[in-house]
Amino acid sequence: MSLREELDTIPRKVIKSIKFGVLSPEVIRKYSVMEVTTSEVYDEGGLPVRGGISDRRLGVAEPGARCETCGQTHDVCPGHFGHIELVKPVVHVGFARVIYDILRTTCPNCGRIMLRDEEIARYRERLTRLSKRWRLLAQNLHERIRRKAAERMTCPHCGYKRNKVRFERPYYFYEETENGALVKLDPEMLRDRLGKIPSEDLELLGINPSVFRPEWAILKVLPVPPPHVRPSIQLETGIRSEDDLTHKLVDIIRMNEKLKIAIETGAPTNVVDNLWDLLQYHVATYFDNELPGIPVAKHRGGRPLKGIAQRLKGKEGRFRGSLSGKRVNFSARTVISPDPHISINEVGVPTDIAKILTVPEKVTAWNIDVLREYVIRGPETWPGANYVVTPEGRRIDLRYVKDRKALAERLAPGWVVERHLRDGDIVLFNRQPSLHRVSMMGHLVKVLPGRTFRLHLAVCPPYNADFDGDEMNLHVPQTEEARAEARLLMLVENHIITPRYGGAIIGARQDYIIGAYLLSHKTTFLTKKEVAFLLGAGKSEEDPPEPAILYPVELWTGKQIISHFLPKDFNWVQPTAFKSKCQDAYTCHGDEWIIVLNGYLAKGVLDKKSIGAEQVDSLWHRIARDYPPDVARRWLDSSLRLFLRYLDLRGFTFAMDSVYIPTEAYREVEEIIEQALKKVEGLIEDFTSGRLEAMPGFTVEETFENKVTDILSRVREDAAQVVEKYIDKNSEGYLMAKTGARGSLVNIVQMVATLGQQTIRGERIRRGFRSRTLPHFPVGDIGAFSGGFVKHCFRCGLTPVEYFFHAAAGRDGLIDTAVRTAQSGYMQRRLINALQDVYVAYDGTVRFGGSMLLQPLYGEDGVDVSRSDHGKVTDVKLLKMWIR
Amino acid sequence: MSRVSLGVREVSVIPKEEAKELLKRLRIRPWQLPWIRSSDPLAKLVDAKPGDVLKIVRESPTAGEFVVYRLVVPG
Repeated sequence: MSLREELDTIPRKVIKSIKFGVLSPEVIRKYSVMEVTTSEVYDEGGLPVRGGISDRRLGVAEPGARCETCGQTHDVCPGHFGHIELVKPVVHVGFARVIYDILRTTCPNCGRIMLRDEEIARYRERLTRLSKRWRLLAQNLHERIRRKAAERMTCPHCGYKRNKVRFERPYYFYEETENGALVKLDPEMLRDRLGKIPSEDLELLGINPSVFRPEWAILKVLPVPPPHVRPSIQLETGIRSEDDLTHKLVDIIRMNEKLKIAIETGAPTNVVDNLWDLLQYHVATYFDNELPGIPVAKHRGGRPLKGIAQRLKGKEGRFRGSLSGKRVNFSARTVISPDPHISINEVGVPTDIAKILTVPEKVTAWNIDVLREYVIRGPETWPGANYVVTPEGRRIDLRYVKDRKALAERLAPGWVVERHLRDGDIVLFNRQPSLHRVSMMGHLVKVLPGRTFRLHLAVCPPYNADFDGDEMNLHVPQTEEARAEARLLMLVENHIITPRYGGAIIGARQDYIIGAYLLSHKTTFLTKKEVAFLLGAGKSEEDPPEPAILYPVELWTGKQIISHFLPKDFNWVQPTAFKSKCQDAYTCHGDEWIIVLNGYLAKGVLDKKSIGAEQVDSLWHRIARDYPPDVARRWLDSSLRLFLRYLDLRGFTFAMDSVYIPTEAYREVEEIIEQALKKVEGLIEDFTSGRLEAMPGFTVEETFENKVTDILSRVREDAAQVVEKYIDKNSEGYLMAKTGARGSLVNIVQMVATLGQQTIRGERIRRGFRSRTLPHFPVGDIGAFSGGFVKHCFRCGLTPVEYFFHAAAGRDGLIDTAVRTAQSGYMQRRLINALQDVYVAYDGTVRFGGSMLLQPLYGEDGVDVSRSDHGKVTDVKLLKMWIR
Repeated sequence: MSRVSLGVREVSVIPKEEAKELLKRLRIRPWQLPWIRSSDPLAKLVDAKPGDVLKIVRESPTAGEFVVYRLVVPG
């Protein structure tokens, strides 16, 4: 009988509810199949000792043996609990705090809660009222009752004057007598006190006596988990290695035996007490071996033992590591690298991986020929197959099939072939941290030579991927339903628009932008050969348009080629990054405004503002939103390839002469720096002579620091204006900054003019040596240069001191990012855990887990941002244009 | 003296009838509304008693003005 059939014969029950409580000693004994009485584990023959910790009655965890309780083998026997009778009771560390709370609110003499009868009646009445609906408020009330009861020192019921109870972590209790001496309360005394408390009084303290009696928190009997919970491992040398819990249990039993002998032989009290305390220690560390205040229990080798708490706790614990974290088959992981030739929908998969990952394909009359070929080709050659499943459910491993041809012949409809991954299969592609839904998208497989996953550059932003060694994961959906879902819902083209604000997250960047700019530039003319090459790059099958210039040679403009790929009904007007003088698109003679008329790019250059990702009101945003995803994707695929190919043709090099400014510009920059330095000198003068007046809310020192920082940081801004004035507007550096392809004016300024003020944590550099930053400065120097002001630029070269400050500031930035990612990651985790049950209901309200109402209308305006345009519902400008 | 604006424009205790209608419209029981303590300055302002439902009109960056409801609880 197979396992499945066997499971089918087990009667099934439906869980109606789950109740959490504490096991009472009676229950522990009832559930126990045996009492563990000896610390011996195995006899000389290597067989488990009867009455020992590995007794076969507890169940068997290794194959071959049979359980002596249920008579079943290890894979069916669930294991059975045993128990240990402790000679003397010990405190359960997990409940020490609860015990303390109860002790200080009840009378040690009569066991009643330290409240007057009328108070009890009043509180009880309020609790019954609250417990119906106001569970949270009831908890508050319990807290109040506890505080009130803890204050009273004379019992209102028996008049006993009680002493204050002191709790010392992790499990010691003392009583403070009048003369200030501490008297230890041993677990037996604790159990006596706790046992006296009437159940009705417990309800007032927030304890449900039907599932928890306080004396149960003092252990007299300890449950022993079956070996399934603590399996022993057989090493290759034949030596058996036991689980940490088993070791710990043996310690407990051994100590229990010792204690028993000591009591029976009438040993002195202090000896008994010492042994008792040791038993308490072992039981406590069995539960939790990271208790504060007591030494951790260690292996002979010095490795700390794992308690039950350690198994559950933390990232690698049972909850986060085993239950919420899962490992899967049919997945692959490798380094990613860029490939601008594939579609954004695709992912390049190495053949080596394609030969291991499989897709189960049902044999039908239509695919039988192909599948036969795959089977014949086998597991070693791509595209082949790894397994064949017969209609009876038998899996045939093709690695061990001698005559694959014969097997292929036997294939018939109804069989399943687990064939290799091939072009066009849908897979899920993912990069950690998976912070939003576009961290995991559906891609179409493109099997390629090499050993890395190939990824289109435009899909890097949603994954936040780069190619400095990033690795990504790939998963192959195994059922038809999963594949359909992936294809329809998860495919990259359906995620060009981010749900965050309804803008495109995928778009042109870097090389694509500069390529698009150069191609759309007015001076770009292309010969017939070049046009053919570019249209081929865009995979156009239509004829090229009429050339713009017919004689003496046929020449096409770059705008014509771009227009060739635009949708024919597309109309759009927007300013470019080069907009300066023109206020209106239609009267502008330059390329400052983009005008697209029925899919013809009449005017304007393309830049980041028009085709970049995450740009509001842009050409690409309109294409992505107003056309079906596949149309938008095809436009992006072909246009991006086109831009890159043009960039290849034209060539684009950033060199020293790209960052050239004439001598008079240098003179102006020099002047700006001189002025600033002079002002700082003046400030220092004022400051040292005490003439500087403090600004409101600041000390004089702070005022000085603020003013200096202000002056010095303005240097770079002023220098930027000079650079802007003098730099060649067609230099590569300037073009890249202006079009938004890469870098900014600040970067250019730092290269050609001055690096400016270096900062650590937003302040001038102040730390270093005593009363100065570096030994190159006079003692007590607070001037511009000792504060990290860098006068030179990268092009002219930094002095060693400047270089040092620059490196210091650079390291500060690095540390800052590292700290920020760690902190925001933790915050994200907490937020997701807290908000995972929040949803927007069909009536537009936001609810929490089906009960609490959070917002009467989502986002206060009821707008689904993922379907809005950058948060706005409708764009009036657009409506106007459509109506016109 | 500087003051922190809570963005609250209007607070009022809504009549029982209206409250009933509101709960019916949202299909919830009273305790499923967000709570406000009766000791909260805003609740004290309109002298709200536990069990009342407060209507609070707030400034909203997305919708201009927005109405939220709070159930007054003891405390």
